[in-house]
This record gives sequence, structure tokens and C-alpha cells, in this order.
Amino acid sequence: MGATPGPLAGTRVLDLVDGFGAYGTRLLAGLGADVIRVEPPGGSSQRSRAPLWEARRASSAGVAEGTPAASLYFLHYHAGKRGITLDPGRPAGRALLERLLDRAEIVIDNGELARLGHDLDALARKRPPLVIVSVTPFGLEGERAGWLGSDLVCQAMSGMLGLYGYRDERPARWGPEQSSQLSGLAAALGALIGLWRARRTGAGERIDIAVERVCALVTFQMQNASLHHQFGFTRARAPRAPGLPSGLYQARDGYVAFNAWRDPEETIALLAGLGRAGELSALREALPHADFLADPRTHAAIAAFVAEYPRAEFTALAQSHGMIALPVHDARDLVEDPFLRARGLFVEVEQPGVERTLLEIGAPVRFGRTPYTPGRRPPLLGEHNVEVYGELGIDPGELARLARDGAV
Amino acid sequence: MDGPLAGVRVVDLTWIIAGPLATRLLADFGADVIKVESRRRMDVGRGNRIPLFGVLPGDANTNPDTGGYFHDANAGKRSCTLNLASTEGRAVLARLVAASDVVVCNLAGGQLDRWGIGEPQIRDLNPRAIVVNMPTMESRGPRSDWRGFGDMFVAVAGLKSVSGHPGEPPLPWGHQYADFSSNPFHAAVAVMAALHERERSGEGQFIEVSQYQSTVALMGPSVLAYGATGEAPTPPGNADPEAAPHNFYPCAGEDSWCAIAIFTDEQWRSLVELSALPALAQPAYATPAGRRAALVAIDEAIDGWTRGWDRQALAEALQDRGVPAGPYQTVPELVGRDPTLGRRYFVEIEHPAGRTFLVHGNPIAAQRSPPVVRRAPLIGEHTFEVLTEVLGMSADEIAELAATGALE
Repeated sequence: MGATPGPLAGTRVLDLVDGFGAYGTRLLAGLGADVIRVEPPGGSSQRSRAPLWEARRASSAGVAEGTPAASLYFLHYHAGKRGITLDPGRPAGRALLERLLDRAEIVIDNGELARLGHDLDALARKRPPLVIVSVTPFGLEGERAGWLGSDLVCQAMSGMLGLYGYRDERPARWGPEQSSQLSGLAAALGALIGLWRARRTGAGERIDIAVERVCALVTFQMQNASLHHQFGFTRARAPRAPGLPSGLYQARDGYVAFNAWRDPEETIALLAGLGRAGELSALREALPHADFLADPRTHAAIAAFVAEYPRAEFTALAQSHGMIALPVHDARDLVEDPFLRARGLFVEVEQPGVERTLLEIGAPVRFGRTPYTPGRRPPLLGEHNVEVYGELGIDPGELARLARDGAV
Repeated sequence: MDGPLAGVRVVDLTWIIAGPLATRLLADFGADVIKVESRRRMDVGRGNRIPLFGVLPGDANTNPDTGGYFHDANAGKRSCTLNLASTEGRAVLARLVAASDVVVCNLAGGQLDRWGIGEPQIRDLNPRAIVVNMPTMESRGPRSDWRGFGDMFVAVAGLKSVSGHPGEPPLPWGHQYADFSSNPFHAAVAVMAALHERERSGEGQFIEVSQYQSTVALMGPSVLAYGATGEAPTPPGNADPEAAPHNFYPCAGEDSWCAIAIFTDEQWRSLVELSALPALAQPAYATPAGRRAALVAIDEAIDGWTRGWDRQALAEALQDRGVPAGPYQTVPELVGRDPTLGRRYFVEIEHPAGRTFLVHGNPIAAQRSPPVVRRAPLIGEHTFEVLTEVLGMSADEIAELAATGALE
């Protein structure tokens, strides 16, 4: 941890997450919470989850047993946490879990505690208080609680994909694990709201987050429109012209997102300033406004203009004229963007036993006084067993005995 | 007001969606969120093109109290109208800030200074205040007046480069994805983290949620993958490293699809059994490697089979057999197909105009102190109440203020 503690320094979080919502515990760790990740003695399956990095191991490293597989997934989502092993299927392991729960302020899981037969309501009533956040595809209760979910299934059912892509085409999954990312954000927020109440009133809380419901937020505001308007909101018709309906125009070195179509008047003014408004002005004179907006020639004229510029240059030109444009980036563009670099968004992270560091996303948010602390690598398997169990008053001798019994 | 955040007062100067949704997430849990707005320059969400009850005859969508966006993003807040172009209006704002815990805005830094609530000014007014600004790029500096929309943030932050069908141009979003995900949630999490920190330190702080930077955090391991391979990741389509087959399959009806995700050999056997397709019942497909090698043929065979199915019935049949599957749904279906199901996502709210409308429920389902979704305020509905209750002003003082135009 850096010299200045993060805003959540001293907050004790137990992380039983094995998929959905892992971003939430990563975020809490970055904010300074002490996040203890619990894994089975053989290691979590997330340690071998794609994307995998076929990195050459350092030749002299003598890579220790238990060194995480080079899973970039694991490296990303479990950064900044401490790691312990525990087998809750064994009585001794279960007893340890209960002692950890007793000490934690927040526990986040994917329904594991309920599956193990813990009475969540009783846990939420215990003192000192505990905030239990479970992140499952359809929630722990309700008619679909028993359904099996995945990122694709949750995205599909939430309605969000009904707004992405083109009508009648095979729907496409959106983004890397977005249902997991969104539910992680909701889990972190719920945990901190529950913790606020717990610290002030001494009352614990149980929060049941359904991933598919979090994703449904992406249909914000569309619901009344589909009740009261003649049109329902579904995916766009196939493209009719460059930029229509995507708002993406081909620049010299890639796409820019440009909302010229929202207000072509501004585009005309911009073009006029450059002595280039002729074609657009003529179309606007010739056509009623709605037709002008929908006419492929309007968009072709805009597209021809954008195509002359590199993305960054066009974006700066448009923004300096009060118009809204942003370049379309990929991961390389992000890393090379001078703006993000100047803000120090990317940090180097190490991977034990591997020759070089990797660039990683740092702080999503800037705090003025208590900084977000990115960049610590995830724990090796059981790396903090001695330390964490020591904090519970378990001495190394007892820990060795627990290990022999397979409890840790 | 009740709820875990009762007693936390938020001055809300945000506009449109991302900012308002951030504070609404807190209002649902009992925070006293005071939306400071003006009849002279209204939140564009109030004058939205998509009013709650449809476009009524003679209604040119100028009614500030039926804006569709507004009612979802501002549920449960109080509205206090202040004309911040007037000295008197700014003086009231300063007093509100002095009496609050949190200030949230999405403005260029210079605007805050002009309103008298820039960083040094707030330090004097209220050193305990937590101030969050949510600019497109940065609060101060050459890009402080850049603007963007939620569907553009996902483009600039790289998400479009890792989504959609391989080898095709990026797909359009019909909605403002980042406005319902990265930006409001990171802002609300940051507020909660800073509130917890203030309990220890007694001090507030400034927080910047650059909407570009905050949305990059949704890229997951993509940046690491670029660093590891030197190649920016590209859209994987619906293929998944953990599951095969893993896709949307066409069902009976227009634009009708079912998501199916096969993670295990057992799930595969269940799919083969239900389909009774000889083309799928091949020993070579019994393992993930075998299925991955023949994915195109497998997808074609499943495509042919699912076309005869109703998507809901197919998903249920697969789920009954332990296979993750779910129907592709659109917003009208979330709302209308099944009223019980609709209540899973939406809360019905009564409007003073005597009709009801739907607001998105808060997916953070706390069981002991649950979120409560209430109606968004009419414009200026609580001006008198806020000035008397929060600032202790008398009716005479308020009348005097109103006469100056400060409360417009």
C-alpha cells in the first residue's frame, strides 16, 4: 500500500467471488480495503481462465509451486487482494470460514455461502455486523433463482442487447464480460451503502444482486416509451448511409464517433468556417428538415469531410467548435493516448516468475486526498495464509496441522 | 426520510443521465438529494423528446414535468429552483453547499468557480464537503469543455473494439451505455468511499470522475492482453474461451433468438439429447476441443433445429436440463409480455397528472433496508420546503428572494 492510505483503508472484505462481480472486489481493493480472497486449496479455476498469457518464465526464477498461471483474467480481477486457501467442505475449514466471517465487515460471493448451507439472515443479524452481498445471474430468490446464467444469457435476457447492433441480425455479445463488470459495480456500491448503515447502527445487511437485473438498467427510460408511444425501442435498421445510424464515420486512421446527425446545423457552421459548406447547405435548402437529416447524401457529405482527417485531429477540431466527437479506440490506442498517459492511467504490474511487467488500467476515479492505489499484483495461491490466519490467532504449528488435514 | 443513507444530504447540480443516475442510486437508499435546477436553463432530460405518456395532442413536449429521461434518473429527489445567473441565487447555493455532505456536478471547472463553488471556495464554505465532478475528459485543462455522450464514451474507451462480429465495422448502440454503467456507478462508489473516509478524518475531498477514464475501467483484461501480445484484442463475436458452442440461435418469429452457452460436457449431452439431432450426436463432439474444432458445423446444425422453437419455451426446456440458456429480449418485452416479470425490473409510480408510469427498480436488492423508488420531483416542487427546512429561511425572506428572480 502506498504512503497515503486509500479511502477504504481498514475496511475488511472477504472475497468468495468466482466469476460474476469480481470487478467489485478489485475496485474495493483499489480503494484501499483489505480484501482477502478465499480459494480452495487446489486454487480457483479463475487462475487458468482466458485470456492466457503464454509468457516465457524467467529462466532463473525456479518458479515456486503455486505460482499463478499467467491468466490475464486473474491478473486483472484479483489485483490488490490478499489470498488464502480454505476448504469449506471440511469441518475444520468451515470453522475457519466462520471465524473469517466473524471478523469481516463485508463478504461478497456468488451464492457460495447459501450453497454451503449458511443461514444468510442469521449472518446478517450477527454482531459485529456483516454485510453479505451475493451476486448471482438471477438472484438467490424468485422464480428464476434456479436458472443457470452466463454473461451471454444475462445480457440476452436483460433487454440490453435489444438495443445493440442491427435488427434481424444475429445479436452480438457486448464487451468483455460486461454483465460481470456491471454487477461488480453494483456489488461494490451495495456493500458500501450496507457498511454505512452497519457502522452507524450496528445492523448487518444482506444484498441479493441479480446480474440480469443490473444489466436491465441499460434500457433506462425506454420502458414508458414502449408503453405509450407508437414505436417500441428495438435495434436499429441496417445502415442506410455512412454514420447512419451508428454515428461512426471513417477518419484517415480509424473511426470517430461524431454526432453530426443530431445537429447538422453545427456541422454546416463548422464547414462554413472552413469554406466547405456548399454541398450540405444546398441539401438543407432543398429538403425539409426531417428529410435533410435522413438523406444519405447529407451523411455522405459529412463522411467525406471527416475522412480527410486523422481521428485525433478531427476530434480536436470538432470539440473546439463546440461539436461533439470522440475517436474510436482500441486497447493500443488507449495505451498510446497522450491524454491518458499524462493522467497516469496506466501502471506497470508484475507477474511473479515472469520476466517483464505488463501495463494495466489504474485508477478509474481520481481522489483529491486519499488516492486509489492500483498496480499491486494478485496473490499467489495461499500467499497470505500465515499472515491472515495469524491475525485470527492461529499459530504456524496449528496452520501446519490444518494444512495436513486438507483444511487449508 | 428513511433508509441507510438517511441524514446524508447531496446537492445535485448534474444534468442529463450519468450524473443524475449517480445521485439517484443514493436517493433510493434514503439520501436527501436536492436537485438544484432552473426554469431558465432546464435539464435537457426534462424537455426530453420522449415524454412519459407519449406525445399528447397540443403538447409540444414543453412540459418540464413529464420528461421520460428525467423521471428515471431523478426518482426520489427534491427539486429546488435557483437562478445561478443571479448573485442572490448563487448565495443560496453557497448556503446549501455549506449545509450538505456531498456536491455532485458534471461541469467544466470554470463553471464551478463562476458559481462560487470551485475548489478553494468550497474549502472555505464547507471543509467536510465531498465534491464530485464528472467531466467528459477533465475538470481543468485544455479539454475541460469537451463534451460526449454515453454511446461515445464506450467508443473512445475501447469497448467497441472488443465487441461485435469479427471483421465487421463496430455495431451501433441504440442507447447511452456508459450513462447507466461505468460513470454513475463509479461516481456513487466514490461518494460512499469518501463518506466512509470522512468518518475517520473529518475532512471532505474533491473527486474527479473523468467519464472517458472511468469507462476504460470496463475494458477488463484487454489492456493487459495488448501489453502481453503487442496486439490490440479484436471482437471475438459470440465465441467464448470457456464455452463451446456459445451463441445466439434463431427461433420462431421475427428477430427472435435464444442464447445458449455450453460450458461442460454434461451440458452438451443434455443439448444433444433434447435436440435429438444425429448431426450433433457424434463422439468427436464429446469434448470441448472436439466441439471447438467443429464449431461452424455445430452452430449450423443448432440453427436449423432452433428455428422451430419459441425462444422462451426453448430456454425453459434447456434450463430444465441444466443448460444455461435465455431468450433474447427487447424493452417492450421486459415491460409487456408478462406483468409479473415486468415488476422484476420496474416500479410503477403515480404521477400528479393522475396517470402511472414505470421507473427502473434499483437492482441493489438489500433485504433489511431495501431501496425505495419514489417519484421524481416536479420542477421547483420543493423550493419552499428546502429553503425553510434546510436553510431555516422565513416565508418573508423567501418571498423577497423570489422577487429578485433568484428562485426561477
